[in-house]
Amino acid sequence: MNNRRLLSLTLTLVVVLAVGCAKAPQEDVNSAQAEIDRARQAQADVWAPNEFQAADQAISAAQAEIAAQDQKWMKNYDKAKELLAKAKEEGAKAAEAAAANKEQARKDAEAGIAEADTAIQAAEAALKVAPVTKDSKADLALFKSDLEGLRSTLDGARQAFSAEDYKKALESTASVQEKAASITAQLEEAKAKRMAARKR
Amino acid sequence: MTRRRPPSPPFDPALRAAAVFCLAFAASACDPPPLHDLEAAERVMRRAAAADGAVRVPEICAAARSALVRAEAEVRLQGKRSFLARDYEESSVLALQARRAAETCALHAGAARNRLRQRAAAALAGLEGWIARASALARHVPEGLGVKARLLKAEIALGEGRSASDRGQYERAQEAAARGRALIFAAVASMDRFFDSYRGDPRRSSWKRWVVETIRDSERTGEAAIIVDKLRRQLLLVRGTEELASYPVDLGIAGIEFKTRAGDEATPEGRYRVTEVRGPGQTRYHRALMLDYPNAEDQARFRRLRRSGKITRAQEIGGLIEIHGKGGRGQDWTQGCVALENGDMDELASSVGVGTRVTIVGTIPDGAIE
Repeated sequence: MNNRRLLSLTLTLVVVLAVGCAKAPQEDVNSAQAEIDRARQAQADVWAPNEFQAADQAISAAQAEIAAQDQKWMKNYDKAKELLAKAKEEGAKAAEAAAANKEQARKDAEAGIAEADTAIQAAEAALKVAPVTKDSKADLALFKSDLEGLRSTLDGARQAFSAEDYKKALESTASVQEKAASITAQLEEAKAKRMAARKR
Repeated sequence: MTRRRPPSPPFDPALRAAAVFCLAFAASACDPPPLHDLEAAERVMRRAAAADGAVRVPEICAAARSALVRAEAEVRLQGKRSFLARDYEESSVLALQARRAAETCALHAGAARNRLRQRAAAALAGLEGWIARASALARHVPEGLGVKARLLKAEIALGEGRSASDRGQYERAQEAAARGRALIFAAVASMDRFFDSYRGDPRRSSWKRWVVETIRDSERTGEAAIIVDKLRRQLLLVRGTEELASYPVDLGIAGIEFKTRAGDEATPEGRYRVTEVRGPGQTRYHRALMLDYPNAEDQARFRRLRRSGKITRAQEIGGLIEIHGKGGRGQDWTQGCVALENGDMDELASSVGVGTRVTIVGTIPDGAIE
């Protein structure tokens, strides 16, 4: 065997050993997993499910790719690294989207509670000045009882808000606000009728 | 004079083959990345996300998302390779698979959303119907049963469902509708229990006797008589066993409670007669049939209750019980009178007069009118 042949054989062996002994990208796995954990902590599965699914699928694909390469004699983790980079990127996106969506929902629910409270107060004020007559007594009693029910529902919405169930809080406040506004409208309508009757 | 070009020398076949190989290699190395399919897949996945594909068809969309991330990773991987080593063949296959998977995900997500929207709309419409029916029934039972509180909660649940549905959260809308339905069923069950117990009321025998005597008397004289069924909120105009007309009525605020004194806002039960017929201008309530409440029986009962201490010395028996107009509100609102819609009152007033028998009972027992 001459020198040139020996050199090329050695080089080939070095390349084969270098590729064959490639290590799984554990650091990349850890950093991608950390981003996904951050997204999970931000409840991305609830507040940004589509983004979270992308991150989750990317890391699953990366793990599958690593497992497949682990079985091979000639290992190549380049694709797994790309998938891990994608998982990390999507994890970060999911965490950010979840935080933003949750904050928006919190703001919406907070505004909803304030608006519902205002609507109930308006209805209570209108009820307070409504004259009690034989004709109106039953209606007023019903409105009073309904407003008590609405107050209790609003308390429930506040509890849901404290428990960070902003969707539930927002739904309840929307319903309470609608019902309270309807009571105010009916009381205002009755008042307008009384005024018109007085003018006649 | 024209100059002729010299013939070009023929290519060496080996050189020609090398040139063709180089061109083919360059062409294959220059294959563009499958960005078109990737962008299309991304676009379709955004459409699927808008339909909440990750939540509504999680397995199908997870597969699509997985295909997409694999294709993207492969494209990025090739992009990092040297010009000569770059090969987008696998990328193209993966990108096409990702696009198809994305389309499947979007299709299923859209279909799931439409299905859920329809179910939510049906559930909310159903709840609205249940609330309307239960509300109509609720006026027949006393306040203390908690039926109205349940109905209000059901109405709030309906509003919550609508609010969720408006924001595309159809699953939550269905949950709200189910919550509302459970409240309605509880209210209806409680009303059923009340109706069953009311049918077994010890006053039932008196009510039956009063109705039978009223019908017999009407049959004998040939005159029309009025029978008011408090539970059913119904006024019957009869001649003997023949029902001439039937009208819905509103009662005193106390509903089906038994009248014992002034101010209890209950409608009395007993056998009365019309003492006066008032037309428009003579009453605030369109037309009125004045009744002879309290009659001798009412007065005797009142004295008994007073002696037993159930009614204080300061309390009075009351009076001015009428059948009058301005009713038809679908709720009990009078201070003890029976109210009809004005049109019904016109019709009734034209069929009766002073002296007409008016029998008011808790409910007409089965078999009383035969």
